[in-house]
Amino acid sequence: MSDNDIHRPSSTYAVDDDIHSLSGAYAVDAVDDVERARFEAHMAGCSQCRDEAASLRAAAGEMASMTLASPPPSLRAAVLRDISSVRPLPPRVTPEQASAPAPSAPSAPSAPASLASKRAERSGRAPLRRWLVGVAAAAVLATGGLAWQPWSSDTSTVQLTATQQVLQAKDAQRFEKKVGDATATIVRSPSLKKAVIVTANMPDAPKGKVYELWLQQGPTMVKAGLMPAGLANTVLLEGNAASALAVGITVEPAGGSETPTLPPVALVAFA
Amino acid sequence: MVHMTLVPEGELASTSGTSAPSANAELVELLRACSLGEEVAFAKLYDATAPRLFGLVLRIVRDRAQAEEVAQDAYFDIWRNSSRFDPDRGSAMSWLMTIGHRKAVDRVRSAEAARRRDTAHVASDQAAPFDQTVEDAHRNLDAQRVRRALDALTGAQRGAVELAYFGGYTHREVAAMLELPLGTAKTRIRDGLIRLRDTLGLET
Repeated sequence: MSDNDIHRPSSTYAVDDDIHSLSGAYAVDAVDDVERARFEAHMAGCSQCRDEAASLRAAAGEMASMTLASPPPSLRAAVLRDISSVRPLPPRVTPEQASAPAPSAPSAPSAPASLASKRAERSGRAPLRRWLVGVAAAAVLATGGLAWQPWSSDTSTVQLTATQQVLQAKDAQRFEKKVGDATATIVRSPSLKKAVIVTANMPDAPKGKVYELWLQQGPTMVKAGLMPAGLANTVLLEGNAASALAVGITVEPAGGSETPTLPPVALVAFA
Repeated sequence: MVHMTLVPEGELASTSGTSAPSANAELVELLRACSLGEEVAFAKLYDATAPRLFGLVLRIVRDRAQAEEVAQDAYFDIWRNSSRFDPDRGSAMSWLMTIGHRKAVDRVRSAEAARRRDTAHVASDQAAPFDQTVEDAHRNLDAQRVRRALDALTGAQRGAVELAYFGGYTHREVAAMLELPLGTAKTRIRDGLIRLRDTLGLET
């Protein structure tokens, strides 16, 4: 595979397939990262698909009884050693159960969306604070509704996040770029004027650095947010993606930069 | 794909080993204890499920050393996320297999791992893992029940389901491999799994 841009604009991407029929492929992980994100966004509002995917997962899991194999004793020792130093995560606490809404915590499902659009309106002021807010919002977007969703109890949210809206948009377009093992896929909805980036196998940024996102508006690269750490993320880009020509990813000092450090890690053109 | 000659099972086939409700209740209880930080419960959970999870991972990633890494990673996640398991949304075993399967699939899909797997595959001439697997599976009542249920699928459905589940391929890749129009593999996988689910009598 060449290192050149592999941008695959496919206007039919969203319309050609009936999202419901993806339940089986989703249940056996036979989906790519974008399809997974789209189906999970869909399931958040479709209990029928949620139930069907769970039942098909159960059926698929039964097939594992055909492939029993004895792991070596060293694996048991390694596993028990691993867990002895880490506590289990706490249960998910839904906003309703919280005694009082913390004013600064973006707990409502719609908060990241409104934060993002507000940030998009202003530009270029109070950079440090703005980036901190950006990181917080991005982290919420990245984890809200993706990790363990089929099993968690907070899938009843009817209000779609901005990310979900883009992933499910009728006019969603898809652009993909591979760099080594890493894949960055941009899903853009011109009608919503928003784009979402879905990453997979992203190596960590160098110590003290972050990945920063950019939208190319005419000849200018405009900041579009920071990627949270992690191999795989789904992040809504700030700014008007409909007018943008490309999405850039650069490595910047922690907190991000005002102008992109060149060369970019990746440049994905909307073309 | 694993093709095995079936021994006649008779009444054995209706019993359902680890998928029985009581077995699930036990695993659910162990997961709950794990969420409270009880390492002894986790060790029991591991002993009750490791042959199945490791076997599945090994089947997908093929390389033994990599399979151990993936299974180790999966059990770490199982411990960390034990409080997130919701018994109303499926069985404990299904949850564990979902985690193991996803990890294994992620591993084979990374290009680097794929290269190593191919080398290992050629080098070992795919000898060891499968023999063990097949032998164990013969002694396993669950496996007999599932193999019979798989016989209810059409050959086309079964092929697509097995390429996806054990091969770790996406439905688009399955379509290309089987020279099917895009969208057809997706449908076959879904239809096949629905039939498998209904034949196994799993609740929806």
